[in-house]
Amino acid sequence: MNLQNVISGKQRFLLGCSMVSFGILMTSSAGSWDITNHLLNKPETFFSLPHLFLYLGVAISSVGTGVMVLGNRHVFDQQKFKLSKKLVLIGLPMVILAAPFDYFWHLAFGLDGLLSPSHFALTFGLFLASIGALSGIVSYPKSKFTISHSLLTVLGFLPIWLTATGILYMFSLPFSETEYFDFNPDPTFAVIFATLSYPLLISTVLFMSYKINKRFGVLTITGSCFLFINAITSIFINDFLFTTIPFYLATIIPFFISDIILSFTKRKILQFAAGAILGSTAFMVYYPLITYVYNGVFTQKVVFPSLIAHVYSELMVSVYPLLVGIMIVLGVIGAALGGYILSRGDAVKQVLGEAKPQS
Amino acid sequence: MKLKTVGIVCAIIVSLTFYFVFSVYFLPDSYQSLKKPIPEPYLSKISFSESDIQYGSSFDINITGTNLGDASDIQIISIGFPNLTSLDDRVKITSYDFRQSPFFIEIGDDVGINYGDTSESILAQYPSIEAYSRPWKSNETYQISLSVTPDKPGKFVVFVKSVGLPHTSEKSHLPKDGFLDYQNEFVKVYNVFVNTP
Repeated sequence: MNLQNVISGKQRFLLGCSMVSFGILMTSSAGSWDITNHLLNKPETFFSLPHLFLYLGVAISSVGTGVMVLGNRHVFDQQKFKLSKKLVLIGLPMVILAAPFDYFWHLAFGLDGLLSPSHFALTFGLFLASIGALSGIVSYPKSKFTISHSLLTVLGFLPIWLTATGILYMFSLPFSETEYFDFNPDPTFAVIFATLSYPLLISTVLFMSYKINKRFGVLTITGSCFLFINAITSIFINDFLFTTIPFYLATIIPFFISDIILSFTKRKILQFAAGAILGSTAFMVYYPLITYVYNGVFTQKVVFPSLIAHVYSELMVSVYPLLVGIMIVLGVIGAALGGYILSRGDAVKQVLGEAKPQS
Repeated sequence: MKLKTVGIVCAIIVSLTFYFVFSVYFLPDSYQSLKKPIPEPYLSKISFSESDIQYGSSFDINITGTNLGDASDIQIISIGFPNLTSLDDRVKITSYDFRQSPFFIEIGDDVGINYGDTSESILAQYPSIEAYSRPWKSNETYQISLSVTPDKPGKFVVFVKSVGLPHTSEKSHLPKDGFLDYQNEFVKVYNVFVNTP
């Protein structure tokens, strides 16, 4: 009995999308671990444990893409999944091509920084593929939108959030100066960029995670999973930050509150209030690495990994109160943007559906 | 129904207030009072194979360092050669067991000053080798051996120091006093006499 006989084309397509999302989740989590590993241990070889997981994730995504394409062939209404397939088929090859490029970049220029052409191609490819995979997951027939399907959308949103974070980090963290190139952003630009983009991203992603499912708990689960991944890959492995884990995980509280607000009311103003709360958590959600962004302008200290908590708490008291207003506004914009993206998505699906009816 | 709404609103306000007070004031305050790590570099062995050599021959330096204090993010053993103009063909690393490869610093390279307390830097005035481990945990020991060939007869000077980063105390550097180098850091001074043939 082969796979084809056991599950339908649509189910296979969903399985493929889930595998792509899971693989990218593994890759992006390993990427976050790799950043911290560079900070703590300055590895001198390409063959490190984070890189192994990173490329294992790419391999899982590649297999998932195969399953997705095979599944799509047997789907009756292929048009519905066209965008999803297209994004994965553009993104994944970018990632696969970026891998040898990354290796040769290491050989040619030694230790590379966070922002390099190969890293950007890799992360952007992952971002596109993760959007494609989520799009495939949410395109699955609504009648089957069960709790397990809602959890699959969590699996779909996490890699988008993590890879988008990776792209934002590249243009805000000062980790891109190497022997041959200095791709570090200007410290003032980095602060402005982070202040605008971090809350926007959090709010957009979490708002969409609720809106797609319209189910209480999904936003909290998505946000909590992100916090757990970041805690494991950026905080847990730094002995000096271990005591700050309760502080970090406390951010589940505003996620939970936003989830309650969105679940119990449909009033626009309160939906924006939920976005505002989400935006205001940006300074906490992106701990500990955000310390390096704001230190570049405000505290201007040499931030050793063992002193991150000290510098961060100094910034929290002195800088966060100045920025929280902007973060709240960006949170509101993020919620509006999330709603807009979803409405556009529905419109695109309708147009595609009408353009090429399958039956 | 109205009572339920009021209850939810109150719970939200209380939870958010608790969260922001906890996150913005209470916890950062407690983290600021956390003890900063104090690494304590110690050089348990500094040995020179010769104190007197003929011009054209080489001598060996063997240095072993330990961290007697808290774990350091980076700990360095620096060996400077104020008589040399370049390390090329004059200084060779014969063995080392540090976590990372040692740095070769040549005249004009950018180097930190004042034990890295600030982000200021200065141009190197003479060549040196910086062997380092990142991180260097408590009680870990690392060694480096060099072979040195002086480029002219006379007194050949070697500076040795060790610095633990973050430099949070006077204990975080060795030696504690003595001769100050161009980086405004104390160094141990060793001499080898190079005799003319």
